[in-house]
Amino acid sequence: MSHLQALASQGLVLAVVLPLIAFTFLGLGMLIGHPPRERRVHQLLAVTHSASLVFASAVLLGLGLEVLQPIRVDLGTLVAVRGYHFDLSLFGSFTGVLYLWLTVALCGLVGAFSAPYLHQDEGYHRFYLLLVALTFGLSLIAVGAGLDLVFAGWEVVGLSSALLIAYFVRRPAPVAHGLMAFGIYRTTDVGLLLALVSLHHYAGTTSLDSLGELDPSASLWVGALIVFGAMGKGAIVPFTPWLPRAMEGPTPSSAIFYGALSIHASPFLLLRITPILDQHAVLQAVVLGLGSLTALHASTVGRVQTDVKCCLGYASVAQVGLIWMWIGMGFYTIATLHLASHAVMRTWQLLRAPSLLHDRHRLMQFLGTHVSRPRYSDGSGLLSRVRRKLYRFALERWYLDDLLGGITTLARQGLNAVDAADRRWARVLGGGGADAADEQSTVEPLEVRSQ
Amino acid sequence: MSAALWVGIWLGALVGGALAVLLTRTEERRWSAVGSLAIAFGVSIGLSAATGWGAAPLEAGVISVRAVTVTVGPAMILAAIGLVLVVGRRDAGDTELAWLLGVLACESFALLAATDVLLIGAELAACVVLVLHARAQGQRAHLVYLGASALLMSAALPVAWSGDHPELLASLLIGAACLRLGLFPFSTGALASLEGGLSLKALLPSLPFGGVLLLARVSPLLAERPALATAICVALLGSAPLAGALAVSQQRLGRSLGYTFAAAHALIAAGVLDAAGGQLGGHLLWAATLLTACGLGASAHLVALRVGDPDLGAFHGLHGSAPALSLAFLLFAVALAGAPGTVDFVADDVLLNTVHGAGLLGMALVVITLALLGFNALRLQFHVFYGANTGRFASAALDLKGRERMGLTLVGLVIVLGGVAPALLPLVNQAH
Repeated sequence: MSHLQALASQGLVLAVVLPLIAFTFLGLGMLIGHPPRERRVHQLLAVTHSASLVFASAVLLGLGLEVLQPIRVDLGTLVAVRGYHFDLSLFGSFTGVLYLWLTVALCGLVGAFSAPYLHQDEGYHRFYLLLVALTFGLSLIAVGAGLDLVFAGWEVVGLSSALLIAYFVRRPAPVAHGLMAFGIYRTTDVGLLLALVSLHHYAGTTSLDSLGELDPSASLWVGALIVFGAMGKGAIVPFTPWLPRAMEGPTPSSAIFYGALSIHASPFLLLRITPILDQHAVLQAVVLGLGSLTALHASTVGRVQTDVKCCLGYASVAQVGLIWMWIGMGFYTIATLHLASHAVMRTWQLLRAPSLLHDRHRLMQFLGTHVSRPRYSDGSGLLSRVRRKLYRFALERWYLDDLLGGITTLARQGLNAVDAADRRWARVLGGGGADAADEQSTVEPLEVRSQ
Repeated sequence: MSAALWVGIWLGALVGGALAVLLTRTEERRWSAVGSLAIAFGVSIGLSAATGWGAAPLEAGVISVRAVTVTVGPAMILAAIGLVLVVGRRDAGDTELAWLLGVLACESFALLAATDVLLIGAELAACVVLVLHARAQGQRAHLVYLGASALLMSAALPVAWSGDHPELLASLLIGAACLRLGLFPFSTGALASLEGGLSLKALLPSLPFGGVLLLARVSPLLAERPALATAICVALLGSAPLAGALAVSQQRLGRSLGYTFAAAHALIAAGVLDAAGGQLGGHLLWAATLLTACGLGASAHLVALRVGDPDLGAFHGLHGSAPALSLAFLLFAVALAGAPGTVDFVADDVLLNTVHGAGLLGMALVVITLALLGFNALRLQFHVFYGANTGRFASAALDLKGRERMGLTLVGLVIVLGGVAPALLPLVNQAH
């Protein structure tokens, strides 16, 4: 390995590890009940993310100019038992390092933006802890060499996303919506974890390099599972309903999710399995179909939204649908460029969103009148009737919420019947079940309160 | 030091601790229990070092010290220390701690037993202790299941002694273990107890202290019937996602926790039944689940001490009043679902990648169970700790007290340490 290549390897490792160091420092402070002051938090984030950005930029430049070869770094083995190795290896291809660069740059930017935005907020430290966790998780997705490391990052991103959506812990709505988002994430995570297990089962390793060596049926199965796994975080149809609800989180975290990184983790994951996609036209067709459907869905639904964050959220999903379409058609370079440029542009738009109203008021003051709004015809022709139906269809978000709600209700009814039978059986046995609970559930509450 | 002496001190500390708990005054009971558990923990670590951290098994008469002994043993004792530090004054002042130490002494002997007969005998003794405990506490549904388990173990003893009829022995052991562990649909007793309150008396028989070793002895007995072994493994795994889904649909924390434990136990059971994978994933998951389930149970117990068994149909907003408890609950709940950075993540990963017996269907069932447990973890966290604070408890000092913080931190640190450096675990070290 050349000296430059070795330096680049160290740079890549540092770019990934620095957010983890920030997480540990912040987390320990919070754990012992002495979190650092706001200014220190801001400085910590600035130092770690700036350094991380410098390293990622250097590696990206080297890869872009072809001074460097794709980098592989082995940091050892987390666990090695008979027949299974969990290797801590990183792989820095141009696409991977580009996504890493976007992660540290945009997370750093959002961190800087949030310092005054969340000043003296009760969840200030929690926000930054989750932000650095998200950065670390996304970094693992970007440059993890094995699917197990990517999955670990994927899980960290899912958990921190749900906790950030529920950031305003005192309001029930964000909390409920965070839970819904997490439910959808977990549903699709089943696909990714099964893909991980299947990859190990068929290839004897979880390295993403082995994807191209699988036999056709195995690679189709693994590819289909990964595509399913990628659908949740990308809000691909029919998993879109979490998106408008997730707008309850603070604006900086919305910028990270729907604008920048979290939502783009989905097409990025597809870009990491291009050897499989190239093998199977049917899988490409599925990706293309899902992307088209999502783009259409998000475009129509986004047009009838009444608040700017939801409009931007659906616009993001529409673009993600388009990126899926590029991938489905095999235009990987266009997909990568689209992903990167859209992430940057949408982050700017979302961070700008809170001041839009202020700008509008200033504009009206300047004009001395209301800004004119587009007017729609409410005629009674065929076109108008179709338009009204379409409007209703879009307003109801293609009835996807009802569909998912119906499935959940059906499952809940079945489970309640099983649980009711168990309770009855408990009563037969004399355990009391619910009756006993009613009597005893208040046993000695608040030992502390009595002090 | 000879193995017999090590074992003597280990078990002596637990039995002596149980007697000390019964004989001491109310306020000294907790610390008597902690002291005896600390001695047993030190001895188990010493034994681990004596076996080269699991690399060199130790055989001495009726005693066999293997990697599983020196991994699960310390985990079991550490989990118990966490529980003892955390439980409320009523549990600590009562005879609950003596019951706990008695069960641990029997289960520790089962871990150290060299023969099937001794193992079954020790498990039977632990079960009898729990039966007596359930009878004393008036947990009738649990009494029925534990009694049935004890009966099956009693029937298994002569069969194991004779050495004939391995399939009959396997059937008896599977039945006894399912009842003892409270696997769904045999979880009625544990659920009824947990629904009646999240005290130590309900948690003690619901946690995976025993029963797993009975299943571990089954797979060699079915070595010539691999199809049957696979069918049993898949059947056990089939109960896991169902229990996980039922946990998600519950409206009470206690009952939801009961189904969560049932799902986690089913995963352990399937893991130790798999002989092809060397049972490593099952044993590792057992050690991990012991710690996380005890941590989660202890955190839920603290929630119940503060607000009773919360209704999960509403938000209770405890986070503002008890942020440290909220953090601990979140850690244990997501760890049980295999969150990265915890020992459970490693255990689940090893289980998934080494359990070949159950095939892809079995693996799919494990994955679905983990997804459901993960969702339920956040659901419990959000409903108990997030949402508007109703003001009912705003004036009280609800966050963790010193000893509670110590207990949860101790268990939490081990869970994280095991996740970051799993090579420290003798089971992993030996399998390397």
